[in-house]
Amino acid sequence: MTKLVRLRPVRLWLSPLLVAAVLMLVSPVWPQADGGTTATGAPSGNEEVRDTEWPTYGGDLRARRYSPLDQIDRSNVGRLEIAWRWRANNFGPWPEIRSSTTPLMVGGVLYTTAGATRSVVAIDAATGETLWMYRLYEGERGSQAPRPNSGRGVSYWSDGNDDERIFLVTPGFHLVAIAAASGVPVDEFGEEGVVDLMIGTRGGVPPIGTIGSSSPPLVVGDLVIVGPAMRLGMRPPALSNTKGDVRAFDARTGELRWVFHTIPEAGEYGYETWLDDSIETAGNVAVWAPMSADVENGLLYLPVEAATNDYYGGHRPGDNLFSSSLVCLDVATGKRVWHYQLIHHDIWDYDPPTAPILVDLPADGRRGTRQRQLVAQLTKQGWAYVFDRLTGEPVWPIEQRPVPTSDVPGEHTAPMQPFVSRPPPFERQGFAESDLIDFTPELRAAALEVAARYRLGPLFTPPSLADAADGTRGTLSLPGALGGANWEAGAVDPDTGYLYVGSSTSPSVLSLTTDPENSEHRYVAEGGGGAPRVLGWPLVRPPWGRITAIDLKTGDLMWQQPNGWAPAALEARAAQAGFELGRTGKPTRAGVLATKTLLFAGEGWGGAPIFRAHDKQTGEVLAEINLPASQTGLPMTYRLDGRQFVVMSVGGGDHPAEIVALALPESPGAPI
Amino acid sequence: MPLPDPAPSPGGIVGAVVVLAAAIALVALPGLEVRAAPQELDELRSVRDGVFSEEQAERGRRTFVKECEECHQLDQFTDPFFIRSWSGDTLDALFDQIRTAMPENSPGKLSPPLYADLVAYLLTLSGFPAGEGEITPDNGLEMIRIEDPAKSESH
Repeated sequence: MTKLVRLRPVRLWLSPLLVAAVLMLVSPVWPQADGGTTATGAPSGNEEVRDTEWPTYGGDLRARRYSPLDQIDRSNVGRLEIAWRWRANNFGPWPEIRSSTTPLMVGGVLYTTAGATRSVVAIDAATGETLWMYRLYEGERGSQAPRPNSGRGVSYWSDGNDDERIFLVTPGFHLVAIAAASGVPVDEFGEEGVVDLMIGTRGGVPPIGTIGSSSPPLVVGDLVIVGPAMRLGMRPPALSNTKGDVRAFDARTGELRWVFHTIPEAGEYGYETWLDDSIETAGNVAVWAPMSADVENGLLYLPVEAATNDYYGGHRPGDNLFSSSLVCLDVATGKRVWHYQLIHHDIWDYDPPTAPILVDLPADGRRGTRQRQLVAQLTKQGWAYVFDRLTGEPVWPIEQRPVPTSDVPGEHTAPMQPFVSRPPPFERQGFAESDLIDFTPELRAAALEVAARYRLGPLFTPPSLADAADGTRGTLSLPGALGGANWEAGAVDPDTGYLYVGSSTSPSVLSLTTDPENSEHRYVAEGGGGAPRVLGWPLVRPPWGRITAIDLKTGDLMWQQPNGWAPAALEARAAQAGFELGRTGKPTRAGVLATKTLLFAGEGWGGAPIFRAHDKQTGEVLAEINLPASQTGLPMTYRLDGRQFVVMSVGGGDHPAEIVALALPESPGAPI
Repeated sequence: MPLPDPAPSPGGIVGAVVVLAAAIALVALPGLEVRAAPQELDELRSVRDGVFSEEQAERGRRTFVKECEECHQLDQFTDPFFIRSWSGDTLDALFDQIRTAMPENSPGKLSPPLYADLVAYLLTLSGFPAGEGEITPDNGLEMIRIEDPAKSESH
């Protein structure tokens, strides 16, 4: 085991507010983050307190990204101003630009991650003052980490009394329990507060550099559930790769409680879906996206990613369970309850990229039915897959239909793929000549010339060779491997059943080549990156990014709004050519947050530094608020001392990551 | 209602977006997006003009091997269509694209001069000549035009 040098966290002085908050938390406070009861059946505690906080990554364990707060509404949202800023410049060995973190807020304190070595920071939620920081030094193991970034955040656990912990999974794959009040590791957890997650991993290669994490663990009751994030799978060097098992640990002691083999072992369900002993070498099939849980029913929902390698499945014939599947487990035991494979034998890198969103549809008097308990999985491929979350039964039919067959030597394309009949896709699917940019005859001609070098086709057209016999050099895929929707997920309004999702219309090139010097795989991706541009323009016509509202009661798309104006450089280019672009949306993925009163959305990584409030029913933009940089982490909200805050990480270009808090102006004469 | 696909039009605003614009006008906006002014084409230099040095391209090659090769094969960039897809743009667009998007698992990880070196290396892969100068971040990249090496020089 790598010798770890642990630095003591820097303890900064405690503000009176923090002391007050800690004292407050000694009194009974809601210890879990979901409605109803805990996994062990204990009462859930004080709902009023919970509604003002943001105790888990997704707002609650159902990943709804919804808050019932209503102080900020359409009458005053235009007056939002920056209440405080917290800068992350000096966390990590370089100033991180893109921080995807979403802070938690519990008891008046924000808990968040910062910098490429993923420090944990506690911040006074009212003022932005730093209260403490913690960092685990991981040496070589950290510098080889597959996801050297601040990740998406941390998790909170409490015993319902005064034992409150923050859980972190580091880039180098350690699980750390930190005392929420002090930032000091909890001695009785693991070894001096740390569990080495590389111990017990499966696979034919050393775990260092191949396995890590990008999302917070999920705390359900007294379990801390960890899904890994693997080395990028486009061009893996070795045939054998580390497997992406999901594990649950005891929140008090760090003991392993259960393991779910996302790639089954002999005798386990799904083992037979890997032919020719491919199950021995297969890797990935991890859960890098956040998870969700239904505490009342004791169910855990896993968005399980694709297998290695991303675009060539010749070394893994078969459907490859549980790759690219939504899997429901019994949270107490880790046993499978049901699963649905969204894509058989995935060769598009269409990992389900978001926490499955759990929502109960409002009771509908006309039908006289009980509430329906649903799970919705948003995907890169532009569908929301909606199931009864207890049974796994699709709410609307999902039909197996024949799809194109690969001509890549050794590939064994799945003959059929599931097609969602409802809701309609929220993104364009498949790539046809009609998708090409066509603003001017010159642009159209140039786009056709580029497209002629590739294969086009409907959704599920397989990757092809960079030197194919027909002279093409790959397949244009839409949505691309980065979505559609991605980790930014969506938000759902439990009052209306409206599901909101930001998505991007950006194609990928799926092009396979040999690289025997660097990889044991017969074929690997020629490279990452999007589709080629055309004379400086995107290859596809707009809209390039959008926000969609889906009514989960009916499966209808209720509205779509462009994700902002056209990129500034393209506006300028259009102006030169004598036309205007207007609201084409940016090819970025909006981060959304729903409250009782409004839908909030930033433009996402690479977008403009503008935060918008939308009418939830129509999508109409009610206000635009300038940010110091683009929204990059997902926005969250809370109320403290009577004031509602909306907080998110921003960054981009020259602007290192920072956390920005928006609030209404304090009334004159209010105490400081 | 699904989003209408905007097409260039004199107003630039189509369909439901008109309603949206009206709505925006009704509320106080702290500020609207700033849009860049068109470039004065006459002042532009070209990537043909020896805008980077051999040393800079070599530094870029070493950075490429260390940071980019895990995901990118060189064929991607020696393919003439790579640089052609950027032709008509200026070098700041290519620089910004790489700096803001790469490496995918930690974009912005490298210092701006290292990103500039990578741009120089990509230009050599497309056959552009080295010269005396160096590509410097945030210093006139928007004044250097990317051209298709296969086409005759045109200003």
